[in-house]
Amino acid sequence: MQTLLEQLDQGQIWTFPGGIHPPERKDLSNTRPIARLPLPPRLLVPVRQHIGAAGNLLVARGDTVLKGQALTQASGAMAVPVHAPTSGIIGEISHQPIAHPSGLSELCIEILTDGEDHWRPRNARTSIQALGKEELHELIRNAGIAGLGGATFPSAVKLSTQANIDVLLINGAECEPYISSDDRLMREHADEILQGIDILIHMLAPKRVLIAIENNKPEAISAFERALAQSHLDPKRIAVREIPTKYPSGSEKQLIQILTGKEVPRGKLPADLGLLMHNVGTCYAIKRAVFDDEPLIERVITVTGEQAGNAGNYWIRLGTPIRWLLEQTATLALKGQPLIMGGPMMGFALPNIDAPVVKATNCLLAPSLSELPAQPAPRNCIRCGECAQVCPQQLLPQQLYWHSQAGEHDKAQELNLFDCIECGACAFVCPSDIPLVEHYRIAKSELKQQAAAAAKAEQAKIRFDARQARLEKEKQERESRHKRASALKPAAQSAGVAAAIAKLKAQKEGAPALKPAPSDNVDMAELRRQRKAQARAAKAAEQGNLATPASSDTAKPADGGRKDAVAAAIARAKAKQAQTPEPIEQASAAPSSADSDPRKAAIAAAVARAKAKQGQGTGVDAASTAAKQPAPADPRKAAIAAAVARAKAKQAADRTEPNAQVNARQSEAQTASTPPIQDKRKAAVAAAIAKAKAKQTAEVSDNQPITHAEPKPAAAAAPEQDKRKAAVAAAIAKAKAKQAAARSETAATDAAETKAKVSDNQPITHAEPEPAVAPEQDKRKAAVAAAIAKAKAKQAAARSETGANGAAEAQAKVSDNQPASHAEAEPAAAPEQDKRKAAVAAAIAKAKAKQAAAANDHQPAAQAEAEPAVAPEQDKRKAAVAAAIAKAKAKQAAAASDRRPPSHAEPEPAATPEQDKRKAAVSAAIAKAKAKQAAARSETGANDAAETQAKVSDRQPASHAEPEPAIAPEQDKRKAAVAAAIAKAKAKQAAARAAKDSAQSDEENQ
Amino acid sequence: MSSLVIAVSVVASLALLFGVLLGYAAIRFKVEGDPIVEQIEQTLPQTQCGQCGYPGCRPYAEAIAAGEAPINRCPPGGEATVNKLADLLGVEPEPLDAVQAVPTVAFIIEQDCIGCTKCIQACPVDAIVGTGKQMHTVIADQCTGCDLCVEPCPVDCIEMRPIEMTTQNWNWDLNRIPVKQI
Repeated sequence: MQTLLEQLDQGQIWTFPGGIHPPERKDLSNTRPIARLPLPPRLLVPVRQHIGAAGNLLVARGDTVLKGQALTQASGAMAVPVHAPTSGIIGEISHQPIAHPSGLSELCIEILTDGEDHWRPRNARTSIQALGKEELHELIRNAGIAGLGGATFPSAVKLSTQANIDVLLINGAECEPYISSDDRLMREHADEILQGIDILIHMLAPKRVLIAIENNKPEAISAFERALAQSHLDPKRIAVREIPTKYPSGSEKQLIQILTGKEVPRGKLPADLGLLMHNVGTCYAIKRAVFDDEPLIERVITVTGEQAGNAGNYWIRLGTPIRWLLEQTATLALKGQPLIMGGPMMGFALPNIDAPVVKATNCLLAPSLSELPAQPAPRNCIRCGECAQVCPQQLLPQQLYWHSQAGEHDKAQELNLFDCIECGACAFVCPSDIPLVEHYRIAKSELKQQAAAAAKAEQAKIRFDARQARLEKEKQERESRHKRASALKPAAQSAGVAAAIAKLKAQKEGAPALKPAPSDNVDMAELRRQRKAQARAAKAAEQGNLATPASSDTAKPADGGRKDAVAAAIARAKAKQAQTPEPIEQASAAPSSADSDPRKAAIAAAVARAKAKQGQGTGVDAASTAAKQPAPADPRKAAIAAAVARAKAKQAADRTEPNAQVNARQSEAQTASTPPIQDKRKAAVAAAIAKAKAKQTAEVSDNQPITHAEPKPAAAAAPEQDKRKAAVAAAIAKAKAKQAAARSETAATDAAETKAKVSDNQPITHAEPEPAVAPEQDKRKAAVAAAIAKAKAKQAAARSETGANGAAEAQAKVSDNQPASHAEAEPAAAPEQDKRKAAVAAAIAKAKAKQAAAANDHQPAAQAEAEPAVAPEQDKRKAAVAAAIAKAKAKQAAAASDRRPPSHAEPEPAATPEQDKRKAAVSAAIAKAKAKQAAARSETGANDAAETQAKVSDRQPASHAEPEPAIAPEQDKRKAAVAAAIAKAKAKQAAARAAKDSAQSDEENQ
Repeated sequence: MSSLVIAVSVVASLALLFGVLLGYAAIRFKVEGDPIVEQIEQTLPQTQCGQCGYPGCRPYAEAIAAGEAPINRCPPGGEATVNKLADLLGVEPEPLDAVQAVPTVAFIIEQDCIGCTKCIQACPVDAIVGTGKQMHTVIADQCTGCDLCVEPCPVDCIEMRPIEMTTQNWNWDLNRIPVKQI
């Protein structure tokens, strides 16, 4: 038994079953050399010209492109790019009809040619010995080469096989009638094709190389033999095989069978047998790509048929409109006759001749009536069996036809429908003129769609099940929460306890301290709750040098007519430090509450949050926002006074050579006090929300950027008197200031100032939202007053070598101005009195300060002060809720900068007292101030400091967080009065890479 | 006489042997659960649309298996699913109880979306992404076209669009596309 290589060396060839011998008609076009046509005025390049995914667009309308420039970039393994076939300007990028039997549209790039045909810079090479396999892969892939035999499979994917290739097969069979493009290419460029084969040999190292050419192309065979004799290639390893002319010998599977006698099993690749096949046109394109650095931008196309005036082969740029091509070759397609792309056996009728030429286009056939008579109507299958005789894949075409026609696609699949190569031999011999291949194609696409639908259904089921499981889990969690809540609830209600709880959590080096002071009338449930609170307070502390938490709990008994009064004050202070030298954070919460309510509890809450974050960036930005809101009052329903103030300032500046400055922000959130609320029936709600966000990014610059962020939201809730319904007064003020400073040579100074005040004027870039809601008096319905003010300021400056200044100031106050980067929120809620329900006064102050400092010399300081003050409310029946929330966030990011920009965030919402007889009055003041600074690296050094302060009525320098909620006592005869003050202060500092100095921060507490 | 005894005893012993074999096989190869439900569910398109009146494809499959529901209640599956179910269950195929709609996919008109997350909660396959006050969008590949997200939308910014035909999913039905004769 001879081995395969021995048989190959003896020149043995095999054959495949079936096959037909249609009239060749190649002499229509193969007698003249490949010609060139002038450049078309317009090219239409589809982004997807191969099997696989399209690449990502690299060009936009109006771009100037050079010849060979990539228009798309391959994104996946199966993607190959397309290139500009000539120089010109990009026109429309839109969906256009493409050369596809469906006539559907795909994304095409229009190129308006300039006629110059300028190449992009090329890097021609004379030898590939220095190139590795990977480099060659990249070259072939980036050149956009797909199999030019017709399937347009990405060549690089085919070449990236890991299998050992014994025999490399070069397909020059060109068995399809009429087409002579490969024939002419082999005759004229056999030496270059051999160079391409040499590249493949270099990449794959096959033991043998066989070039298969049908024996109806003697000139091509002789041309190859001449070129082989002149080349350096080993004649023992590479040979030209003359194979008998039979359709479809050019099909990959059939040609493998002819040359090696092997059949490629279903589901396997030729590479699994140690074989690999490439078309001669592909080899030529690989040669051009590797040696000449020319991507695949043109190919040889046969224009033929009796209607073609100048039948022959032409070098055609990809993207050339077929209509233009027909005009240039004096081809006149007959009306009623199809214009066929591809050969007469496997081609398809073009639905639209405006479609462009693509990589798969090897022939345009304009047949006359005598060449292609009108297809007679199909008659019934007579089961003659001719089709089975000629099928090269040894299928049963008539059975496939029966099943396909009946829609029994699964049975057709059992008869190996997917092994059909759609060569058309069966339809060619069919005496009943049945378009068999068309039935197979429909059946195949139907089966593919069914498979896709099944896969999608499977995926949907998986996702549905996952969702069901998730919902079930959430439901269980909810139920368990309810159980826990209901277990605690009766104890709290029945207890009637006057308690004051102060929690202070400080995250330091793991040393939390809690000092609960039990009251006189604390029952077991309250004791349990306190123990839980203590356990919660024990948390892991983050990295930091200094953090001093202080917690104090004071619980005072309250007097009540029926139940006990509960006074709770919770103060939380969290301080986080990361990599800062000496940040000191202090958080003190002193809640004192004495509530007395006849029916319910009165809650006064004041929340102040101050966050200061610093990061590295370039440029200086500052923004300050202030929002004010008056408070409504309503006797029956809730009166809601909300004031939201947001100030965002973003600045982005590019790097400059000298120094950059340091940004510092200070955000102060002071949550003052929540006096008791008195209401007769319901609670009066006064809410004031002030948010101030300031973000700064500073880049390396010579000059000094100053960052101001001064949001001062003061929310004043004026009392309203209503007997039946609620009066709602809402005022929202948003101020956003964004600055972007980009490169400028001399100096660019950007200043964005956004101010929102009641009676104040300020220069550049003002945005003054002044929402003031006067109290309304209504007896029946609610009065709604809403004021929204948005101010956005964006600045963009270009590069500056000398210096760039950027300053953004946003201020929102009632009648106040403050310097750099302040955000003050002082919500004050007036007390309310209620006889029946509880008055709840809660004050929550949160202050968070985060600092991140990079290699900087100086120190950025961020202070956030939130001072929410909730005035007491009086209500007779229900609870009066006074909530003041002040959040101040300050983030700083300082890049390589010399100096320090300070940023302050001071939200000050104030809620005036409300009086309501029936419903609750809620006064809430929320102030948020966020200041972010980003500092990037600098050569000298940068220091970042973040200071967050949260106090009642005090300002303090770096890194303060002092929430001090005070809840005034309330008197109630029936229920408990709850006064809760929660103060949270979080300060986080993160300092990165400080080359020289470190950040310093001081803290003071009251 | 002896031949009679031999014959009877041989037949009796054979009967005993096969009885033991069958009894063992009944235990050894016992099928747990109701495999017909699984087969029915695999036939259904898994859109989870609820148009059959059951909350999902699985409950409908269980109802069919229990004989409680007719097999023609699945509009997304269409006649093909009815025929498959008829083959599977050995019953006569019935005409579809509703009009089979063309396959669609949900599309959110982004400028109208207010970010209410109601459609996200309605989607049975989590094919909508987004969060509160943020614009939502549909993962078209995962959308089953079940329609359930259209109703909850307060601003009617969701519409069902037929799946676009591309060269990738074109089904070679040349008659459906007007071929321009040239």
